[in-house]
Amino acid sequence: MDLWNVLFVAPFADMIGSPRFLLEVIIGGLLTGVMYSLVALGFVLIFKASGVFNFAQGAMVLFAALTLVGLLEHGVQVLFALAATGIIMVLLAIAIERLILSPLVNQEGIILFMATIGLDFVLRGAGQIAWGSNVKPLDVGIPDKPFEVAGILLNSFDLFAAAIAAVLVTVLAVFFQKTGVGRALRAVADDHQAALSVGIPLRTIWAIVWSVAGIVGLVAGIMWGAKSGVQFSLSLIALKALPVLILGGFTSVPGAIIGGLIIGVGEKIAEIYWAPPFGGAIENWFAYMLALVFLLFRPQGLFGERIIERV
Amino acid sequence: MTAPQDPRSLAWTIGAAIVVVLYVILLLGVESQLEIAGLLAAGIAAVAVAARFGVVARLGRFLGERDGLLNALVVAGTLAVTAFFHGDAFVLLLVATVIIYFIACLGLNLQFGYSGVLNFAGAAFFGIGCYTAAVMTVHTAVPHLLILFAGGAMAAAIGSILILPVLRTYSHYSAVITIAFGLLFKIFLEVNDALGGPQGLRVKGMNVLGWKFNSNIDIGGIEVSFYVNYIVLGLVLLALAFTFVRRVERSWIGLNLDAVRLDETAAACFGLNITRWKITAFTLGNFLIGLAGALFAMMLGFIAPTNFTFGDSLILVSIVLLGGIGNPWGLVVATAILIVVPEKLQAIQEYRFLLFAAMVILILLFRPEGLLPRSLRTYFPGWRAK
Repeated sequence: MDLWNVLFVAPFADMIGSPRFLLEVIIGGLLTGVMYSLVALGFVLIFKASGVFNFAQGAMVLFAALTLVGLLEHGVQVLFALAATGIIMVLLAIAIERLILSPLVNQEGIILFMATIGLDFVLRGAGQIAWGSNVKPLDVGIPDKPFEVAGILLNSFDLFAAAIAAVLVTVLAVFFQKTGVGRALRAVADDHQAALSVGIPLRTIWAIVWSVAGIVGLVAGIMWGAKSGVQFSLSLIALKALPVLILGGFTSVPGAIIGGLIIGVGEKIAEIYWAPPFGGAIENWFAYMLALVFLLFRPQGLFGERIIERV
Repeated sequence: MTAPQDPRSLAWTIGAAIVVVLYVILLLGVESQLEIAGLLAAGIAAVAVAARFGVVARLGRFLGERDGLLNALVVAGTLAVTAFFHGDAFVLLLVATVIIYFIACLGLNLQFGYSGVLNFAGAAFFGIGCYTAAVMTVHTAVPHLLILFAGGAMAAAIGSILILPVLRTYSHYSAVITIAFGLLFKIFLEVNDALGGPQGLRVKGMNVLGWKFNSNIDIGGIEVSFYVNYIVLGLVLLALAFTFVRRVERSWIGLNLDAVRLDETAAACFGLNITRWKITAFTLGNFLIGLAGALFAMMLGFIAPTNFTFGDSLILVSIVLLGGIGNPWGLVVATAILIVVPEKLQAIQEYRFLLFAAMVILILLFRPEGLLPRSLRTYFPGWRAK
C-alpha cells in the first residue's frame, strides 16, 4: 500500500495542494520543451525534404555554438560573428552534400543514416580539436532575469527563447508553403524522380535543406549555449531530440514542437512529483522511457504518417 | 566436400599465415609510436602489392573452399601469438579483448548481417552481460561457467523487451529506438545505486573447479600471465559461437533470415513469419553479446557505466561494417584492426571515436560491402560456380 501511495496518491495530492507551484512547473517544462523542439526541428526538416535521418543534427548544434563562441572570443562583433557562423553552417551543409550525400544517392536509407552517425562523431571531434573542450559562456545579449506575473515566477530568457522559436517556425512555415524554393522542397520530399523530371535540381535542393537545418541548429545552439554554456554535454541534450522525434513523428513539424513540449513538461513533472519512489534523476531517463512505451501504442508517432505497404 | 588437393597452394597458404603471425607479433611487440605507424603503413602496402599481383585473391579462393583450414590457421596463429607474449599482460589483454569482441560481433552479425535487424545498443547488451556477471559472482555461488550463460540469457531476455517496439517500426525508426535504449541503459546504470552507480561494480574472476583464472600460472618455472586462461576459454567459446553462427547461416534458418533481410514484403508473401525470424535473430544475437560481456567483466574484474556508451555500440557496428556485413571471417580482420590499432597507436587514442566515425563514412563511400564481402550462398554443398 505504501508503494501505491507514493506512486499514485502523494504526487497528485501535492499537485492539487499547490496549483500555483504546479503551474510554475508546467511553464518551466514548456520552456525547456521549446528548446528540445528547436533541436528536433532540424531533424524533421532534413528528413522531410530528403528522407535522410540526420543523426548529426545534434553535432551541428554543438558545432554552430562552438564556432560562434570561438569567433566571439577572438573579439568579433556579435552581429558579424552571427553572420559568419551562418555562412560557415551553409558551407558545411554544401560540403556534406558534396562529400557524403551525393556519392551515397540511391543507397538504402539506413546506409545514409549510418553515414550521418559517422558525421556526428567527426563534427564533434573536429569541434573539439578546433575549439578545445572546456565549458565556455556564450553571451549574445539576451536579458536573463526572473520576474513575476500574477504570482508566477518567469524568466525573461525563457520567454525570449519561446518567442524566437515561434518566429522561426512561422518563417519556416511561410518558406515551405509560399515560396518557390519551398514548393520545390516539398516536391523533392514527395518523390525524388518526379521532382527531377520537372527540372528541380535535386542537389541544390539538398544543399538548401541542409543549410536551413544548419541555421536552425545555429539558433538552437545559441539558445542552449546562452542558457547553460557551450560544452560537450550540449550534444547529449541534442540526443533528447530523439525521444521528441519518436513521440512527434519524423515527418511532422507540429509533431516536433508538440513532442518537445510534452517531453519538457513530462520530465519536469516526473522529476518534481515522482522523485521519491525513483530516487531522483528521473529527468535524465524519463524522455527515453516515455518514448519507448509510447511506441508500443502508436509506432508512427503522434503526427507521423502511417506506413502502409502495398504489393 | 573434397576439393582437389593442391600441395603448392597449401604451402603458400601456410607460408602466408606464418608471415601474418610474424607481422602481428612484431606489431604487438614494438613500442615506439613511429615504428608502429611505419609497420602499419608497411602492412597496408604489402597487402596492396599482394592484391595487385592477385596473391590475395588466390589465397582467398583457396581458403574459401577450405573453411576448416582457415579456422585452424586462425586458432593456431592466436595460440602462437599468445605463446610468444606469455608474460606480457598488456599484449595478452589485447588479444583476449579481440577474442571477446569477436564473439560479441558474431552476435551483432547474426542480427544485422543475416536478418537485417538493426542494433545500435550492442554496448548495452554487452553491459547487461557484464552486470549480470558482476552481481552473480559476488552475491551467489552459481558455478562461473554457468554465469557466462546466465549473462547471455539475461541479455536475450532484456532484448526481448526491446524487440517489441523494434518490431513495430521500420528502418530509421527502429535504429533510433535501439539508440534510445542504449542511452537509457547507461543513464539507468548511472542513477541506480544498487548497481554501483557511476562508480561501477567489482567482479570476481573466473573460478572453475578451483582453477582460479585471475592468478598467474607457473609452467615449469615460466611465469605465464593469467590472461592466457581467458584467451584459452575465449577461444573455446569463440569456436562454439562461430560454429553455431555458421550452422545457423547455412541452415534453413539462415535462409529465412536472408529472405527477411532482403525483402520483408516478399518474404511475408511467401508465408515466412517475419516477426518470428526477427525475434530469433535478435535474441540469439543478444545472447552471444551478453555472453561475451560476462566473460569480459570477469576478465577485467571491474566495470563501470562509462564502458557502455553509444560510442562503444558504434565500435561494434563499425567492426561488422568494416568486416563485411554478414561475413563472420571478415570480423576476424576487422576486430583485430579496430581494437589493436587504437590501443597500440596511443597518439590517436584520444580521437579514436572520430577515427571510427571517419572510417565508417569511408567504408560506406568506397567499399560498402566491407573488407571481406560475404560470398554468395551455394545451394548445393560442394557446388562452385566455374
